[in-house]
This record gives sequence, C-alpha cells and structure tokens, in this order.
Amino acid sequence: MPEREAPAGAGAMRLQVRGLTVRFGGLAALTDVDLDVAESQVVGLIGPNGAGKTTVFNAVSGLVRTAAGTITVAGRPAPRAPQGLARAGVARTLQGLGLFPGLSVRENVEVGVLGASDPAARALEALDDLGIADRAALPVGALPYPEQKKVALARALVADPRLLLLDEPAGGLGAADIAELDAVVRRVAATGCAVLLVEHHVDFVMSLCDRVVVLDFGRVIADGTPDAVRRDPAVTAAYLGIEVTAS
Amino acid sequence: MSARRTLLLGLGGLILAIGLTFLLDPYRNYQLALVAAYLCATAGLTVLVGLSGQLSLGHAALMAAGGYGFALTSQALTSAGVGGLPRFLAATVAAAVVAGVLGLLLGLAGARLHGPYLAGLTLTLVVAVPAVAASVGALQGDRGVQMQFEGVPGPLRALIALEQWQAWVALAVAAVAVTGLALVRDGRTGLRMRAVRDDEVAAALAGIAPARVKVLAFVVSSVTAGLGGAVLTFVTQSVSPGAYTVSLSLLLLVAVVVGGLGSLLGAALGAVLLVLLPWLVGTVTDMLPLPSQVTQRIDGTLPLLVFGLLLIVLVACAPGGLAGALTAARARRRARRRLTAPAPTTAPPSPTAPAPRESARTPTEG
Repeated sequence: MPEREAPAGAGAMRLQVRGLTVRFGGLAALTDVDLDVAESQVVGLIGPNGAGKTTVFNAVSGLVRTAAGTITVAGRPAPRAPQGLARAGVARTLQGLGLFPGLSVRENVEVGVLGASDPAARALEALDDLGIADRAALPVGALPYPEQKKVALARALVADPRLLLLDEPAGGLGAADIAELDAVVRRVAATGCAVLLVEHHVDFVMSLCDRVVVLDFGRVIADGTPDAVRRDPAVTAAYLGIEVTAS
Repeated sequence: MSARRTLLLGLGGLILAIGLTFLLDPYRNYQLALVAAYLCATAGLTVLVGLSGQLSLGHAALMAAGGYGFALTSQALTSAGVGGLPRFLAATVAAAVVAGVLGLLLGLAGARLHGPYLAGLTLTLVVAVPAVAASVGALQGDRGVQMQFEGVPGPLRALIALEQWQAWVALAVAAVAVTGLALVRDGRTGLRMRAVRDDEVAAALAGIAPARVKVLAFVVSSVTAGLGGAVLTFVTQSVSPGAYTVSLSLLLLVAVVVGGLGSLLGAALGAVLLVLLPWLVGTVTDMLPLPSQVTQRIDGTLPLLVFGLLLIVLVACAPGGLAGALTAARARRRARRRLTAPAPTTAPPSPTAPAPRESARTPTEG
C-alpha cells in the first residue's frame, strides 16, 4: 500500500490507521480503512447504518480483533486490550452511554480519573466544567438523558485524554444541548486533544469537524473538508442509494 | 466514609460487642461467637456478590479451607512447643492464606466465567472439598481434625467463662475482617468492583482491568471466609467435612440476600439469622404439643423452610433485604421530618425521570 501523507496543516498525529480490515466470520466489516486524526483536529466519521463506523472505534479500542492493518496512537501501536487505552491517553464514550447504574453521578466520573491524589475532587471539577456539579450526589439513573450524556462525556474528559473518541455524542439531544456539545468539543480540541466522532447528525458534523471521513460498506469512500465531502457524488449515492454514473 | 471513621467505627463496634458479652449467659456468648464466625463469611460473600457481581455457591468450601488451615497449623505449632497468642495468630494467618490461595484459583477461573457457569464451578468446589477432606488421611477423614483444648488465658481465667473468651476472640477477628471489607468497599477498589459489576466494557475503557478486579474480589472474599472457618474451628475446637456442606453454602448466600446484598449491615443481620433462626424455630416447636419424634424431625428442616419463606417474602416486598428495608425506613422518616420542617427559601434541583429527547436526525439515519 502506498504511504499516505498526513493532512495538510495538521499537527502531531494522534491516531493513524492504515489498511484496517475487520472481519466477522465471512463478513468484511471494514476493508483497508485509512484514517488520520492530528492534535487539535476534530474529525467526523459518518456513513449509513452498518457502514462500519463503530467497528472502527471498537478496533481502535481493542474491542474487536483486526484481520489486517495497523493502528498507532501517538506514534505507538494501539493497546491490544481496552483497559490499556486510558493509560495511552485515549478516552472513548459509548453509543449506549456505558454508565454504571449502581453508582452516583460523581462516582461514575471518578471511575475515569487516573492517578489524581483526590479523585472525587477531580470528578467534581469535570462535572462543574459541564455544568452538572449540582447533580453529583444523585444516582446516575435519576438524571434526564442529556445530562446522562454529559456524565459519560465528563468521564471521558476527566482523564485529560490526548485522543477523544465520541460515539454518537449528539444522538438523542435537542438543539440547545447540541450547541452546548459543539462548544465543549471545540474547547477540548483547542487544548490540543484530537477528536474523532462517529455521528449520524450530519449538520452537527459538517459545522464542527475540520475533516470528514465517509464510510460505506466498510470502505472509505470520501475523506476531506466538510464542503468537499458534501459535494462528493459518491457520498450522495451512498446516503441516498443512487448509483453514481461515470462522467 | 473516610478510612479513619471506618476504623473508629470498627473499634467502637468491637468494644460495644465485647461489652455485650458481659450481659449474656455462656450459651448466648457461644451463639454470639458463631454469629461472628458466620459474619466473616457473609461479609466477604456480600462484597463478592453485591459489589463485584460474581456468584459463589462455594463459600462453605472456603470456610472449610480456612478451618483446616487453622487446625493443622495450630497442631503443628503445638507439637513445636508454640502456644498462646503466637499460635493463634499464626494459625489464623495460615487459615487466611489457605483460603486466599483457593480463592485466587477460583477467581482466576471465575474471571473467564459468568453467571451460572461460575455458580457451577463454585458448587463443584463445595461438593469436592468435603469429599476430598473425608478421604485424605492427613485430614483424619470424616472425624475431622480435633484441636487441643484452648482455655481462657491465665489472667482472665478468674473473670470470664470460656464461652465469653471465645466470643471475644471471634468478635475481634470478625471486626478485623468486616473493617477490612468496609475499607475495600469505600476505597478505589470498591468503586472499581461496582463499575465492573455494572458494565465491564465501560469499566475497561475507563482504564480498569475487569479480570484483575474480579480476581481480587474473589481473593478478598475468600480470605474473610477462611477467617470465618478459623473462628468456627477455634470455637468448636474441631473441623470436619460434615460441617461445610452444600447446604451451608446455600444458607450463607440466602443469609446475604435476606440481609441485603452488598451491605455489610445486611451481612451481619444474615449471620444473626443463620444462628438464631434454628434456635427460635426449635424453641417454638418445643412449645407445641407435638410428639418428640416429630419435633426432632422438624427441628432439622423447619429452619430451612422458614429461611426460604423469609427469602421469598423479602424478595417480593423488600428486594434490598433487611438492610435495604431499614435504609428505606430511615429515608421515609427523614422525608417526613423535611415535610414538617419550614420550607427552604430556594428549592434544590429535582431530577426528572430520564426521557430521551427526540433527536434532530437526518434522513440518512435509521
């Protein structure tokens, strides 16, 4: 495979995926996927349902076995087991939130704290950053859905990650919550953290992301700026099911 | 709860319990010592099942391992001329180590198993351990290992009876075990256990190694079960395979559920029930005008039936067990007090029920 260059204007590479192939039995979930996310960059990974977006996250997180390809995080091979991810400076949210129902809001965030002398205080700080510190003592299940999403985000951010993987962060949120999320992601990226997000909300992705990668049937069909991707006929075809005729 | 407060509570509880022994007759002190022995096991089991989410039907086997470890070490030290407190401490440590090693092996296997498979593995252990103990010559078969008589130490001999002394020792060991478990529960390890119990994948993504946490939970729980076995051996002055059967394992689990899963107070209530229920049932049946043959027969089985009924009633009416019911009652009392108190000037934020909002989704999404 020819060596791929880093995107123009990008800083140090936080995530580099080359030739990633994942198979589930006879089904090729991902085929030869290349992906780069540099520091301070927000990259959106979009595609129709079943395109393989979450499988990319699972492969990077060590939750699925790769059949081929390499994944490097900050120049080093990605940890093989998910528990090594946090120490490698990677945090991830889950599509199903992945909250711990038996724990309070603060405890849910405290679980993500790495090596702080006062993990409870650090968790409260992270909750305060997202404006829900007053909910700290409540059982996490007592919160409304948008606030539960904030708890999941706070747990990811509390470890001060250098690479943040967000799985459908805007799913189930209203316009005001999405605007708030947009501001948080921009703030996080401004600190140098690289952000890769899987999202169905195309308007949110197009307004927030520096680059957008489009997957269809496990292959990358477009990779570029939001405007370039929006104009790409292959993307329209993938989303609307229209066959692209050769011009 | 801070570690200092936990330690102070442990010490305070021990002093109170020792004070209680002065109010009890020798038989009640013997029963109190049994409660303390079972408490070591139920407290460890409630941490394992309630906090780390792993089911064990084999805690009687872990108690047996502790009991044999205690008895054999004690015998060996007696032969070597060691006696008194050093012998007791060394034998207790040996009991904890033997049970801990067995728990480590179980935990290593258990980390790869879930639900009924793990329960099956632990059930196999509790069937196998007494059978092996009964057939190994060094463990003296069905008769078990008899301990040499451990009397009250010299300076106390004139002041307290043997049963009271045994209760003191049993309570001290139980206080150490329960305080240790409380420290684990309230610390980072306890938080990790609960996270792994709720969602292993999310816990792993937060940097926790689920397998390590699960094995640690098994080891901690086994060590305290081993201490329970040591105390039981110390009190009864013998250890035999017949005392650690499947039914004891099941009773320990039922006691933990009835007391309140995951609660150390619940474990204590469960241990009290384990000891007092057979006695209470026996007292009631003795009062009934029944032939002695019938009384003898039902004395052995009726407590199990009552325990089972209690379990069904509690699961239906108070799923949090006795400890959960007490906590709920306390919360209701506090709420009533708040209602009668003058209203605050600013209302605290009240959470609403979780209700996912409709997303502004594009037609591209399914």
